[in-house]
Amino acid sequence: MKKMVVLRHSTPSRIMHNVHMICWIVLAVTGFAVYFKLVGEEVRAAFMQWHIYFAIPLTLVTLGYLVVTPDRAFMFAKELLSWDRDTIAWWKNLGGYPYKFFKIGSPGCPPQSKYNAGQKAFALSVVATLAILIVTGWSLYFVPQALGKLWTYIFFMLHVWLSFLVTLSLLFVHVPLSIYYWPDFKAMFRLGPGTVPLEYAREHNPKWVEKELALLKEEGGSPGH
Amino acid sequence: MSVAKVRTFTEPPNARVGSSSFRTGELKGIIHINHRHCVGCDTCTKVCPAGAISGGIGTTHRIEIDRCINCGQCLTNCPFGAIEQMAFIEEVLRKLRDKETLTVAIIAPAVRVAISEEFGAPPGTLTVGRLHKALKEAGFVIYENNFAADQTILEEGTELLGRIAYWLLGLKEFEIEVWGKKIKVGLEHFKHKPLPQFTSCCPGWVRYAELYYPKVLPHLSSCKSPQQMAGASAKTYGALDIWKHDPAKVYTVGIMPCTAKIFEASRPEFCHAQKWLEEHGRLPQRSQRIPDVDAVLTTRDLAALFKKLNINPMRFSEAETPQDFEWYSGGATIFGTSGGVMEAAVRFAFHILSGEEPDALSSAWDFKQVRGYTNPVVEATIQVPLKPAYRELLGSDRFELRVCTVNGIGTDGSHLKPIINDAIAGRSNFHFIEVMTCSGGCLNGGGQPVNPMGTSWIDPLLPLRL
Repeated sequence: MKKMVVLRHSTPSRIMHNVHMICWIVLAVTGFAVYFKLVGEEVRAAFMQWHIYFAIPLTLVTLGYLVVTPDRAFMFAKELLSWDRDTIAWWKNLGGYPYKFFKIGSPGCPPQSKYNAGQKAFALSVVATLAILIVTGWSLYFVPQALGKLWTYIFFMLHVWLSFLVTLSLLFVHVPLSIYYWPDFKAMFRLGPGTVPLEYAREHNPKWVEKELALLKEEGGSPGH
Repeated sequence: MSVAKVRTFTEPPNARVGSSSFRTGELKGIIHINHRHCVGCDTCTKVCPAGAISGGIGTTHRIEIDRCINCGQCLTNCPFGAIEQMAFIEEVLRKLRDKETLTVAIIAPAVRVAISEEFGAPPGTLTVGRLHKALKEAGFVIYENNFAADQTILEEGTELLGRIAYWLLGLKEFEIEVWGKKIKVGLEHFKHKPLPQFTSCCPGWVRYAELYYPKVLPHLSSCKSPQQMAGASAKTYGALDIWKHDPAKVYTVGIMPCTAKIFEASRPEFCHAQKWLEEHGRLPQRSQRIPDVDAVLTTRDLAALFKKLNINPMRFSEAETPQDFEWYSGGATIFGTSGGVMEAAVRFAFHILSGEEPDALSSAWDFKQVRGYTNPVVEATIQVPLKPAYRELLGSDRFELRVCTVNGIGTDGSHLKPIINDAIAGRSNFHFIEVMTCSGGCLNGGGQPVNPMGTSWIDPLLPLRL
């Protein structure tokens, strides 16, 4: 019998995520190397060019996700902004993660939807930061004269330090946890469909699975194989 | 870090050693980029009129001092406070403490509407009496630069009329009447001073012309700037006849909205007071050069000096009775704005050519069409009615005075280059051209308080300008 699976990451979402990931890595490396003067002058000049070049696909894929697949973007936003009692309850013991890894706090996790409360908060911060980075970055590049000195300074500092904070959290929270949840990781990066086993989804995202199955029943379908 | 904060440094030991584009005595490196604070935002490159800043986006920028005209626009526009200015605050303080030295403040018109910002007042607050009183409390005597600006316009206006008489009318001599006194002006020397005449009071522009367009130099007015006229006059007439002080112990301080004035004061030719005093036996022959202007403080520097002396100009009353060298005309005051020198010169030419008496209360004597405001280049034609003596000469009852104001040299000379190229090629339609290095004029000079919300970057905003 074939294993029951459920679609975790749609193709547009995976394209967006993976382009973002590649661009972010290049932008972070080049940006911080330039700001913290970690490399020589000539390399800094080249890095800054790369920084600008890689900002283009980052911006385009973000806009493309919104324009080409607005339904996906809407669903994503709706999911991130849907906070029910269980989402709030997750924060009481951070979904049991401190207990799971460090035996701190209490075990157990209230049932979560497609993303748990921590993922929602993190994704919202990344989305907001991404928007701020795109706006500040291109403003600094194209129209700094329209900003005046104070706003140029504020935009620059926001650009550097927000990206720095998010990069740190990506490195030390998002990446380790995504590797820890290997089926989810595979769903994002493998060449095939972005699915996870139904049982895995039931364990981690029971509310989402229930909702998806209810939808399927309404439509007369069944989970994927 | 405050966006409005400007760091300063004292004169380095080798700053007056001649090299490359600098003669011995001329100050090098008045404006300096601090590599530790430069983030490579590239703002400075975009506002530099001389293309003197190297460095791409993201890299540490550098000023090529041989190309720099010291205007300080990079400094006032740097959002990161990474650009520093050479300052002489401590030297001036030492002179103020020296009981034998008479320290003279030569105050430029743009300072009085900006100094208050450093003491928490709104931009544009007029502080004439308050500034005078604060300077006197600090120990200065005052020589208003406006007084010298009036002298400048008499010289520069006469020179303009002389060039017009020589080149357009073919005269060898020209008679003008000023305050009822008839003066004959010999015109032969204008053979080497063609039209159009350019203003010469902006030191950034003069250095720009010297470095990049030496062919235009004969077009520049031969008048010194008001600062330099004031310095020479203070050390001669002022010292001997007004203050009765040993000229060798008069220390003149230009208080300017401008960093290029620091350079101007250091130019070796500006020691005319010393030459005059030596020629007239009022000073022993000396080998050591005595400059007409000993030091220049920017508006920011003066605020720093006041703060060191615990003097707040805003606590004084504005009312005052002007003393010697504190009288001046409205035409002098508008030197501080782009087109102001032009307007004052037009008023003078209008007065001489028409024979009409200026009326300070009449708007007929305002020629605001020559003001720069937010336009990069302003062109105007002034219809000047001629008095009978000049009607005969010109064969017309009026003269069309064609003028142009270059309101900021523009990024890499963008505003100025077409005007200057026409003048050099003999294609220019203008009689008189004012050039201000900084957009808006001295009001927006490199020595003014830094407004964090401000930008003098008008070109990219031209579609938005009011």
